[in-house]
Amino acid sequence: MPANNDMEILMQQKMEEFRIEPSPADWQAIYERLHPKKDRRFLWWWFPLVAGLLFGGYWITIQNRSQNATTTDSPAAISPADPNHGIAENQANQKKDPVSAASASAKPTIETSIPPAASSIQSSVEDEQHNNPVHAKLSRNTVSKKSNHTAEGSASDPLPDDIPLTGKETTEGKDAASTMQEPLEISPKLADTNTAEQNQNETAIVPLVESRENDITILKEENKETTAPREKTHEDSLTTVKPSLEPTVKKNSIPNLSNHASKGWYLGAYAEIGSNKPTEPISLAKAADMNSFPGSGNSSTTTSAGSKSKGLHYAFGVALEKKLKKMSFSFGLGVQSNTWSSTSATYKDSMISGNIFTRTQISNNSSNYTHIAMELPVMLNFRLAGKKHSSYWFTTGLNNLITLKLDQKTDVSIVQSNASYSQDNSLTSKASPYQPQFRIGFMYENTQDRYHWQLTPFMQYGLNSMVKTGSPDIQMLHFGIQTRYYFKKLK
Amino acid sequence: MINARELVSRCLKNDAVAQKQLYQHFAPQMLAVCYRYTKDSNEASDVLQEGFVRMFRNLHQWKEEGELGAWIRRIMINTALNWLRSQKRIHWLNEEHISESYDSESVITPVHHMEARQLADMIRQLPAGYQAVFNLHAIEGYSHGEISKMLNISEGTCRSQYMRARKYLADMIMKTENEKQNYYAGKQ
Repeated sequence: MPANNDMEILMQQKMEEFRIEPSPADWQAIYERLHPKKDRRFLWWWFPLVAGLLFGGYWITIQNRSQNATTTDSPAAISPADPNHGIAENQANQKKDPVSAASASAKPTIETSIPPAASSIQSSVEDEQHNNPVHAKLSRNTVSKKSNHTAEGSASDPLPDDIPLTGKETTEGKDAASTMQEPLEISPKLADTNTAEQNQNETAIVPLVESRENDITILKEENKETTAPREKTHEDSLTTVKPSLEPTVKKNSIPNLSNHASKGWYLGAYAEIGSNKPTEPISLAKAADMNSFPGSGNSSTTTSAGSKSKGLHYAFGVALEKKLKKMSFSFGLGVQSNTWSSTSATYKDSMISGNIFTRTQISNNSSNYTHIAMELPVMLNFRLAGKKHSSYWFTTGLNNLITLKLDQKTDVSIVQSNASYSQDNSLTSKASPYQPQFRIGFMYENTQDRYHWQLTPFMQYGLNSMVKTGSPDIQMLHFGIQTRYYFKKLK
Repeated sequence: MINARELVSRCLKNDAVAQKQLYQHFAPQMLAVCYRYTKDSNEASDVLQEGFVRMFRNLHQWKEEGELGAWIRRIMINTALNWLRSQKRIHWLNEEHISESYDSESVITPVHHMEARQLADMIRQLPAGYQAVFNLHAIEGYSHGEISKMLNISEGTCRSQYMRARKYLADMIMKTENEKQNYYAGKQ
């Protein structure tokens, strides 16, 4: 039962007349809930791409781990390029040190486990020795040291006349026995770090491209063996030969937990995908909607009502990253593409009396936009947590967009006449040339010996309007995921 | 004027154009209802959207004898009350024993001087419990018995809440009216 007094009755009468015009966004929200097909299709595109990115990163990690495991598990089976290497070691050890000889003899499989590729390399080295005495010496010294290790053998090798030796070099003789011990110390290192392919490269190329100074050093050792008895310590002889045995491929250092700093820059590539959502569908429609308060009497006004819109966002490019102590800095250069669509409708509002009016729909407009821009992302990453290989970061920065192209394709349908037409417009001249976009995200980083990769879900918001108009701005809101792969360290 | 039956039959076939026509016809009135039960415009929009979605999904339950507008209005009110419950803004006190010392009949309030929007804004300033009871009893016309079932409170609580709400509102109206008179008196 309604309250029966003046106040209640008057309030009921007042409230019966009360009307509030809802926003066009309200109908759009209702429509999307009643007809949700578009959303499903949108998500359908999303998931395979994200899954592909994740799987790609995982696959690269697995590949690298299995490669490392193969390299480190059986050094003797992979690394020795000289089948006589092991024999020379054993012979030398048997002569010099019975204890070492005994331990060396505990490795009977060295010779039998040499891969065919390594044998062929050895034969090619021997061929080369016959054809070119200088290179032959270098190769022998660098790879097999066969002559040196057989004690007397090296003494009989001729020294080329065209390479002069200094007084110092000739006086510092090297103990032949000590030289013979060298492979015992250095060969595991060679096996640990180099694959058969890398050994091949070292055999054929490294001596040729090494500096002249190194060549002299190596040749000098052989000469010493012929002239003077070796008196130097084992450590000294290792120091002399070491440079030629360092792995030729530089590894990226794995940072420790407290300090990620690196001297050089890492070069990499990135790709990202996401959704974009303009904060206003069309500024023109919004402006018209804001000014569409109906007048009094039998007047009529035209209202344009925009609806929410959304689209897709892609980007790819190259990046450089510098690791600092507990943070990292990166910048890049890439291309970004944004597509989105929006719909709007035009109405004719005819006032009847007071707050009552009738609204007639005149047209439906559907616009598809394509925006292509060059992007210059500048990002700062702050390390939050993680272990040696896996870490989690907070990332923030500016993605600077420079517009290259903005196109609009509009489909208009006239409701009353049932007619429709399409129109293509270039809005490049109306687009803001510079659009900085603020980005935040959380990054997962996986660090391996020769590369590191990152996966970053992010949110990005445009700080500048997409289109230069006097009416309300169109800011872009992006949600996406980015993957970066840094594969090379620059000095 | 719209043909409700025809429009509803088209809406039942999930015709988006008909749905939009129905929405456009009733939305201004329903948003005004939602406005009175909520505290700001965004909340009112949320309730309106939820109410219309519920209405379209349950449109087959509408019996053609009844007025469509009244049926939609009831859905909006129920949606608004559900929303209030979900927000947990209402904390009912057991006020059955509070004496109704306030005589509503004796107070003359200058409601006729006020604009509808102004009155609606004043209703929104009431505490959430008063707001709901006042809207349901004074504006929608539900009895205290019906309201007590809808809000799951005792009838006594409902009555006392309504009386307090009415006094609160009358005070606000009088205060506004006095301020207005003082303003004009000062100008003269």
